[in-house]
Amino acid sequence: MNKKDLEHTVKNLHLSPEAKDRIARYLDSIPKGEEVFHAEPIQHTSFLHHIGIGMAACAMLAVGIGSIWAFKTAAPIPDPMEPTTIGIPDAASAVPPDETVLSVPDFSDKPTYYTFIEGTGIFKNEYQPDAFAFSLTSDEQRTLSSVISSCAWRELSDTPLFEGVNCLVLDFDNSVLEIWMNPSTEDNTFDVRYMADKETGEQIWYEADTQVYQDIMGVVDPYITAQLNSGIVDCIPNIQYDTDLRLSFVSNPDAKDRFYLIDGKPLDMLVYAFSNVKWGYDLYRENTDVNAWQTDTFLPAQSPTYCLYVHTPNNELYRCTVWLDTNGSDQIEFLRYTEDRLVGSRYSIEFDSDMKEALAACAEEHIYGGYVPDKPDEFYTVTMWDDLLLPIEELDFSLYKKLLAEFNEEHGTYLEMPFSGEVDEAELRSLSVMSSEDFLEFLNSYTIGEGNVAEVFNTDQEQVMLKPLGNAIRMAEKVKVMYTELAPNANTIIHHYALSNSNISDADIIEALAYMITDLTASTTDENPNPKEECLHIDTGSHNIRFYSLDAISVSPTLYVTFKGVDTELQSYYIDKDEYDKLTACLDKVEDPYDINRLAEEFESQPTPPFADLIREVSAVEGSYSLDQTAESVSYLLEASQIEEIAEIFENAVFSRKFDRHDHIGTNYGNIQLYSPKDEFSFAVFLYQENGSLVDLCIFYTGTDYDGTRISGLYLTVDDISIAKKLISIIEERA
Amino acid sequence: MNGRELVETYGDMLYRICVVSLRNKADAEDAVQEILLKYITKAPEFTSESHRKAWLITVAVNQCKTMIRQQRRTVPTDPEVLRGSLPEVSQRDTAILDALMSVPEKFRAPLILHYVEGYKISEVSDILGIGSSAVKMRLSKGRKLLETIYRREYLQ
Repeated sequence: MNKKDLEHTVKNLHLSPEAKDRIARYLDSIPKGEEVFHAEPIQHTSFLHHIGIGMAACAMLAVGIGSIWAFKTAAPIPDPMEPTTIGIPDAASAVPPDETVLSVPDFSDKPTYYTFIEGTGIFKNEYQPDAFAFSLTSDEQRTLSSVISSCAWRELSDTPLFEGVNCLVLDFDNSVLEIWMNPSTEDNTFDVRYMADKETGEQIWYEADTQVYQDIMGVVDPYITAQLNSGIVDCIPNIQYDTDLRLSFVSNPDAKDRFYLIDGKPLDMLVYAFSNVKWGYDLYRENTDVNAWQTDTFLPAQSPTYCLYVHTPNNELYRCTVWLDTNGSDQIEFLRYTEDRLVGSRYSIEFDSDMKEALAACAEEHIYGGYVPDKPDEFYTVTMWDDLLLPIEELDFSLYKKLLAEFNEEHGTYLEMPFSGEVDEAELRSLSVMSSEDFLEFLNSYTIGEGNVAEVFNTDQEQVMLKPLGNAIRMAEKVKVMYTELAPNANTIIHHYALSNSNISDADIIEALAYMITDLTASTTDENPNPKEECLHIDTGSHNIRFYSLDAISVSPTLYVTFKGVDTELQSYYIDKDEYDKLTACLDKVEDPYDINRLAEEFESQPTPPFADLIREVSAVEGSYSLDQTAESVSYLLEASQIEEIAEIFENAVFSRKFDRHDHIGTNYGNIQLYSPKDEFSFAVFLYQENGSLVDLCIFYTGTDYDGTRISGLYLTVDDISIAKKLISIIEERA
Repeated sequence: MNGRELVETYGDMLYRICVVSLRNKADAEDAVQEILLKYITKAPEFTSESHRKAWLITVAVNQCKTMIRQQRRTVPTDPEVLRGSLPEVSQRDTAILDALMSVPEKFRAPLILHYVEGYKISEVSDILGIGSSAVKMRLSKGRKLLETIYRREYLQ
């Protein structure tokens, strides 16, 4: 297969004439004049122009900006001397006033910082916003205060998901107001978190119309634009004020990735250089994908790169990557590590001769001079492939060991890691900062015979620690475990355990499970390997962790792990069998396996969630169906009357909770899906037929359980399968 | 430009991007409809035809991300079903498509934009909102993955 094959194949994909006709008719049916809205042309002085075309966030903001100008010219500026409270001007609101009045901090108190974060990430944990801070004049602050005071807010009963794409943070002395744009802007609302007291962390969530956002941005946007146009960004940490920092210094790619402690004169030179350079905001952000970025940064693609790690005394860590380019396009990337993500931006920079001299001096003295720090345990940093920065005592060589084991197996060698016995400390450090590629090269030096070792291993694997899962197990009141012993002859023994943290012996096992899960070494995967057998299932109530063997008759050398929490997407990992065996060894200590029949009865006898009430409570329900898995599926927003009809169906149906996966009759031929756009619930109704007739259905529900707790998935059945037909007819009616 | 002209001009291009990303014919058609609807209701004025096309592709990429998130929120569709919902193509085309769709989502868009739609790396960088070096990396890894899967599944 070559480029032309790919191009030919993909270009062979066409919209069907029927689809073209349907879409065209739909588009032409949109009323012109009333609903059609053309945003104002984006001003070239607007910050949006700088950010570039195409971001979804920009599209939203473009609409916002269009209205901002309207606001600036038409909307009356409220009296700045009005009391600084946020209230609901709409007297018809059903929310009691005393729950919605909120004190607004005194804007006249300085310093007050405003941070605009423009993010483009879609999924949680891949969100790497750009941020910069700025401050307003007193007059601007008063105006903003008035705007906020006069806006209509509605208190939210629940905490929304953190999936906003834009965020304006108003950071006051002791309080914070965060504005999150919901990616789904169809409902024209956005979320606001107000933390009245930073120390206590108490917070209230509000929802407001986009007009509020536009009004606020009307004050702030010109300032952001001016800020960007000025080419000066204020959020660069002022290194010269941190008196006790250390810089680790690595040069790449010509030298090994070694880190050195820099202090004394070279440090002073660097600090001076970085403190006096003029920073400009780079218009082309490096990457919004943290993982990709981490790998990407170390690609030896450009001219010599200097990477500076800056530790500050309060454990903040900055990474500064510098590309020196003789063509005058020097760039610097400044990122701040927080506990679980990177925050930062890439900036263009103009190096003057002093700066280059300082860098050159450091390089000469410390890289080529072979400087080794006198105090290796102090701020010593290493880089693994995910750039985790660890004290040397906490180095984890398990992935190296795994690579080595695979190498030995592949090549019939018996190499051992050279740091198990008497090892020169310098060599240890050298290994500890070795990238996966370097390590493979290192191994390759021992290779007997031919072959490119680097191709043997999947160097793209990323190690992950399942610490959050361990904590979920540890915090659970009750942990349900299904464990299948899979024997080569397919003689399986299934154990069920219901472990309660209130029972002392159970608590020990739960802790052991939690510890082992935390300690597992897994590798991420985007693949679905079509697992054959579920051999272990741990249900904490908030998380479902499933281990699958990739082989139908025995626990295979590699297992596939998935987990899903209440607030997390389904995630998948690979894990080795020896890791799995360590985990399941904990279960050997369970003395009294739970009676499966009793457990199932207990589970199935629990009341079903109040589906009808849940459906009625939400503002919107989307429905879709496909009666032929190979045919198109249509999805529509349902009208209020149809939502009520569906609620009545669910109200009158008798549901049965299924303890295990539904053992259905017939073959799957279609499905109906109902879900609320804000993720309050989702129903997936799978339909099964036999001889052309609907014979069975299985419902997979995610949402709130009968007792108000959130559940990540529940299998249900109903005796009356005609409800499927009723649901289809309702959705078809809308279609 | 009326709806029919829009569909005729940009429909196939958007559909290609969407169906490869969403791996589902019906979803891709819905996505095309949504994108063109956004164009009618929200599009800014464009300085050139290439600007307009880039805007549409960017909206397409984001629309697909949104729809993928919705898919994840409910129940993942069976991959077998996804394959069955693709348009009829030759066996070899199907094999290539299957391999392409087995490549993780983040590599697919750069591959399509660069190798099929012919955008330069800097243009792909602008459209996807990621750096040029990230585009290069994704193209490199995407190519490698595509080849590996194709060889493993269809040539052996």
